[in-house]
Amino acid sequence: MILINLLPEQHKAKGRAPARQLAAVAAAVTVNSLLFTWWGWTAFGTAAEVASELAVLEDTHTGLEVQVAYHKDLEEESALYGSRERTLSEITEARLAWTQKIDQLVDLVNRGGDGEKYLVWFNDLNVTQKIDKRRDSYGSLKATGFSGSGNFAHVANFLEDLERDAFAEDFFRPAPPEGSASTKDPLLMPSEVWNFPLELDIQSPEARAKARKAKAKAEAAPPANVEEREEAQ
Amino acid sequence: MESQKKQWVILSAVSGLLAIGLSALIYLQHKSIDEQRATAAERREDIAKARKLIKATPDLMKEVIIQRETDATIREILSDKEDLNLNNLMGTLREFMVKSGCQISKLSPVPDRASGKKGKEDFARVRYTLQLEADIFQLLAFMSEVESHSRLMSVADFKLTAARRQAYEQGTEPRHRITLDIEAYVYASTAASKAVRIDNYERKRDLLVSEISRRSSELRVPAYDYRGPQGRRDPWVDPRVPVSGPDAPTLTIEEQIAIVDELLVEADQLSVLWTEVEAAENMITEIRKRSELEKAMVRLEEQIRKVKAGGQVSFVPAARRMERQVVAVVENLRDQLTASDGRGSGPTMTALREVRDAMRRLRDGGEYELALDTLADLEPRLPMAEREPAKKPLVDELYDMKRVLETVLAFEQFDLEIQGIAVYQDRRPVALINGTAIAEGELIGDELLVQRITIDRVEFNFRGVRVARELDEFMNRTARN
Repeated sequence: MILINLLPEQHKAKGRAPARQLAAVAAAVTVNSLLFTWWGWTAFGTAAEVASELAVLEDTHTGLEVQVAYHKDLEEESALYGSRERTLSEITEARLAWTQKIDQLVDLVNRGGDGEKYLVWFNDLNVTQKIDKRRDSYGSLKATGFSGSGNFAHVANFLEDLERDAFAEDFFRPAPPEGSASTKDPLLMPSEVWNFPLELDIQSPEARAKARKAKAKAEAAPPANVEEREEAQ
Repeated sequence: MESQKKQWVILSAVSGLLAIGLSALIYLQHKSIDEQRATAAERREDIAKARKLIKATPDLMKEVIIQRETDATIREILSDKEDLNLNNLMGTLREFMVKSGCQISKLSPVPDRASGKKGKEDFARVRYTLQLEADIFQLLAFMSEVESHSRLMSVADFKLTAARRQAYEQGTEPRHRITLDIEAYVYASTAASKAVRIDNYERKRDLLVSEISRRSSELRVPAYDYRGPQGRRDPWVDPRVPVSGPDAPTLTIEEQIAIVDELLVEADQLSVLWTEVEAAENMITEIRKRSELEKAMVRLEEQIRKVKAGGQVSFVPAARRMERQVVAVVENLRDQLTASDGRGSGPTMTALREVRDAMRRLRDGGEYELALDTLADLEPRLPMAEREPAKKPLVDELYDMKRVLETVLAFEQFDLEIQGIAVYQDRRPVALINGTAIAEGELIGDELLVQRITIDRVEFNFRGVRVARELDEFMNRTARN
């Protein structure tokens, strides 16, 4: 059955939306409006600002990239030259000046007087600089020495002088003195001769460089006390 | 009612969907912003790094300029392949050989396993083995040339076998046998292709000149200043001397070496003076220098004669050094001086006076033979000097002195045994010579005239020269006989 309200319009009962529904619609509209506003603020405010800042940074970065590339090219070139310089320094630091060493040895031998302290000469000389890092071996100097005296103390004198001399600076300490008496030759002066081995192991280039620096430092340092200062003067 | 409900449902759904959509948009937007912020932070960091890097660019640029310029020094220090070409190296070593006096007998390249490896080896390493003969000072001079050469070379291994005593006792040089390994490094140019363009390079380089110079000098290998033998003996030469015989020593080895050193210094001075004579810009300077040279030469020749006559240098290496570096040098200079006189007027006045004074000194010291030897060096040039009136009296004096000295030496050859002298008051004095009584005015043989006999001496006239002998001398001789 169909019910028709035939009452005049002014007599009809007014239809009202329920309050709960109205509140829901209003809430939905509010929420969506707020969300829309937030989105709008984010998209056209914050995001644009960040994008613009990023664009500025990108521009700046791009502008700097050329200079950075130039710097890196310079670094590369510098590294190449630096490597050469380092290699050259390593070679020169590891190098032993044998002219100086042998000259020092000649000096040392000649400081023995005419046999008063010692009269030493050699039969041979063998210098090797073969490096074996596993055995901590950097080469050696070997010679067969002769002392023109029947007194073995002369050999000890020589080795003692050798240990104290600048010649020994790049070597490890020599072995304690040893030797044997040769047969006498009455036709020669001195007639009695001792022969002894001279064996010195070369120190590593690092140890030599360290010792050189320490020596240079010690030489550069002022004397510690008044007496030493006066002596130095 | 139903439709209203439906409308509400639709409205709610649309509203919900819209809210979800907007939320999603907001979420994505924020995510995008966060990403952009992160990118911006990264960029900021990159920019900061880049700015820091760029701030260091001027310093780096300076460093590169310095390195480029010092690389030229490295190029100078290291050999190039051409330098180490066997022929060129041989040429360089031959120069060293001439300077040092060594004798190279063999040169051969050594294959080096390490040089094939990459890594530390920025430069290729080349090694050569040399075999040479030298005394220790020649070897030191040679090694010094190698180690102080403008191209970096190092002495690696070496082995020396001392010369045998018998060899140098027989008069040969004490030359040791030496095997020497020399190492060199080859410059490989790779930097040139990667050189970065630097604006106003020359101007910037000019501003860095002092730093470039400092760094270059740091790179250069310090060379040891080898100063020669300095009177030292070679420790690889047996210093023992024979106990008896003609070589028996009168002086210690050090004293003998010192004598030779002194002579050597004077011989060097002569060489310098000769160079100055040759380089003289005008005749007056030449005459002055020549005069100085001749004076010094006469003095040195006299010293050499005395050393030789006294047998002062018997230590074989020292004696040989004296012969080689003093006597030979003086003889050579004397020859050159004589040869150069061919276009001039012989020895200078100074030289003539020096020789005369030296002869007088030796004559007064009874060293007649040495006095004649002094003149012998100058004698071939005397005829040239004789032509000059100013020099003639001196030349005559020298000839006269020579005649007297020769006469005295000839007189000394006479075997005269004086057994006694008798001097009477009113009669001619008589001397008992070789068992015969000889009075004044009588001849012994064909040439020796007894001119005067006094109580303590007999004077003879021999070839126009008056020669006297003290009685003590006769008595001593008699006693000795």
